[in-house]
Amino acid sequence: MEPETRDVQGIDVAPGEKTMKKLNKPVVIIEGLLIVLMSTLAAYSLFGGNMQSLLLTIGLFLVGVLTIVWKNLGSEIFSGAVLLTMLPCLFKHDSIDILNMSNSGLPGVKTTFMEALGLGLVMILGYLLLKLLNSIQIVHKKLLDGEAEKDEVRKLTREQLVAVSIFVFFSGLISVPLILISSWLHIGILSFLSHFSGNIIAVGLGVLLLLAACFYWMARKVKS
Amino acid sequence: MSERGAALMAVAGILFTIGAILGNSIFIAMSLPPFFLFVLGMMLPTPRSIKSENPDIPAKPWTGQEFTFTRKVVIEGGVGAVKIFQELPEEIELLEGNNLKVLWKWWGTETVVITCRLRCIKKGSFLIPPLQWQSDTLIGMKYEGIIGESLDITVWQRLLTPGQIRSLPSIAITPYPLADIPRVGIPSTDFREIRSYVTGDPMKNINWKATARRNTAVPLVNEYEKEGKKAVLLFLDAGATMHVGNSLESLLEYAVEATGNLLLYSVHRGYRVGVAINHTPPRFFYPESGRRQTVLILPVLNQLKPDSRTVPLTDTIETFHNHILNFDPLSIIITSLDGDTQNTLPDSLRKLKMYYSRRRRFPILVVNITARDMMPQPNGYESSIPALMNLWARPRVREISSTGVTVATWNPKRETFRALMSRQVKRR
Repeated sequence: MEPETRDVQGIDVAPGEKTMKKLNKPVVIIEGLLIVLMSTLAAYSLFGGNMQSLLLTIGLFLVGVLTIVWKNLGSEIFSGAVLLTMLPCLFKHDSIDILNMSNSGLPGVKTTFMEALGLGLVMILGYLLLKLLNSIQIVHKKLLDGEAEKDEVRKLTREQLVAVSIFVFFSGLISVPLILISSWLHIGILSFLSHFSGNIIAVGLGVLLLLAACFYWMARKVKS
Repeated sequence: MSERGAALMAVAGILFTIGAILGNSIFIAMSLPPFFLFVLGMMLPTPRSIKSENPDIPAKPWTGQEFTFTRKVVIEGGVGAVKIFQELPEEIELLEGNNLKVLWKWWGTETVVITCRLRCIKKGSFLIPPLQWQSDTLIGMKYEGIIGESLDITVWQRLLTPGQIRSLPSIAITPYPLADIPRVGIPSTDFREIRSYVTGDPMKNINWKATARRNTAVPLVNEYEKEGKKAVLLFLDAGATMHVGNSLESLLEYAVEATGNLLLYSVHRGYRVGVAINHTPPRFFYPESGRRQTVLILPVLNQLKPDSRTVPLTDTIETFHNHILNFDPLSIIITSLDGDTQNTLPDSLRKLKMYYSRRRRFPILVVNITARDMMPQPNGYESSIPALMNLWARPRVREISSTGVTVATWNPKRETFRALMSRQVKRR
């Protein structure tokens, strides 16, 4: 008497079908909505509201569905494509025009600072959500493969979804005051930094490293 | 730092660098959410204080016994996904429930109860490993650990209570010892035979009338039946012959079940029971009566592991030959003709019969455990294996039976040992 196998992988089930069956539907729907939103905004920022924009939206949407929902390759490819599409629009707000991109005739809708900021924030928050949702989806599939109870896995995924949404929302919320302060001060800072024109990049990188080290140290301290 | 945390920091760093180089506040603003998400993730305490009590396990489970395994786990503090896994040895089957629990824990204390219905499917001593847990934070930091210690569980072979086989005494024609009379012991008043006087016979036993009638030089004496306990010798073949099956189910498992049941039955009836285990090294328990024998022998049977070497049964018979001559016991050989590919059993039986009187049916019983229904049958061609094994074994059974030895064939997949024992009762 062979011990009864608990392997649920039927031979007659196609691999694609099996993969799709193990996806969590609410996560897929949210991922789809985010992909549509990010694709539309990215295409709009490049071409405005025309046929090219629509085609680009469809193209980006297909990339997103294929890499994130279908193949679970992570959100980096899709987000990279979205960022590339948005770059001309964002470069128009450079304070230091090193590459002379403001007047290079690059395509891209002329947006106000706040509109561009909104686009950028939607893009980065969308990327973060997609990244975390993708990892939730992978965990969901792994647990179902590992014979965990379906109801428990569904509940875990639902709770994780709530937690991820809360944390991404809070990270955005904490960023907003800093963004507003920096947007008010950046002109003043720039005029101050113009006295050190040759070292502006070194100063920027130094500040970045200092900030990173400071926050990492803080986090480790709190953790321990 | 986890891979996910490193990715968040990398994205924040790249965006900030681009923003700093180009003097673009939008890129700098975009670098903040991943950075703060990383910091929040790092600051969030992880569920790491996990406690559990030892579960209740039956004190003396037997093969086939089902029991409920319940383990309460208390998780204190922290926020994150928690996986709790109770590993089970492969000899214990999970019938209901799940030994893997997953949950998302918010702040506060969470209590999880793992409840499973388990069944012991193999005899022996096993370890139930400690409870394993793993917690996972939002940014992919993983912590894991174990709770408690390994639990030792000893599963015993299922033994029938002797009362379950009631029909065996009285008029069985198979050579069971209840219908037989012992050779050694205190003489009773039941007359057995007249024989020639030998040195040591008491004078009061000389039958003067018979001696006078025969007119012999040596007087004749009356021989009386002895009062006492009849003996049973169990020969358990635990060598390569029984090396059929898989790690969970093998011929040896069933042979041990048969031996244990016969031992218990014989001891309960008050017989002297001896057991010889044909193993490497062989184990011998000389004929004794009383429950002490079960205490001595059953643990050894319980820990018996399959032996890949062939151990000749003739050597074991030779070791016991004095006991066979003295006690004239019922010898029971527990083996399998399906696994005896070298056909060593006839030689062993020939040797065993040498020690018995030829005047009556040999008190030898061969319990032949069939393996044919234990063979996997993955395709149509191999589905003929049981039929072929049956065809191969049948003439050998007939050959052994024709020499005056009783053969009881037991198919453990189709009947219980109790049924086999009851089947041996044939009324005149």
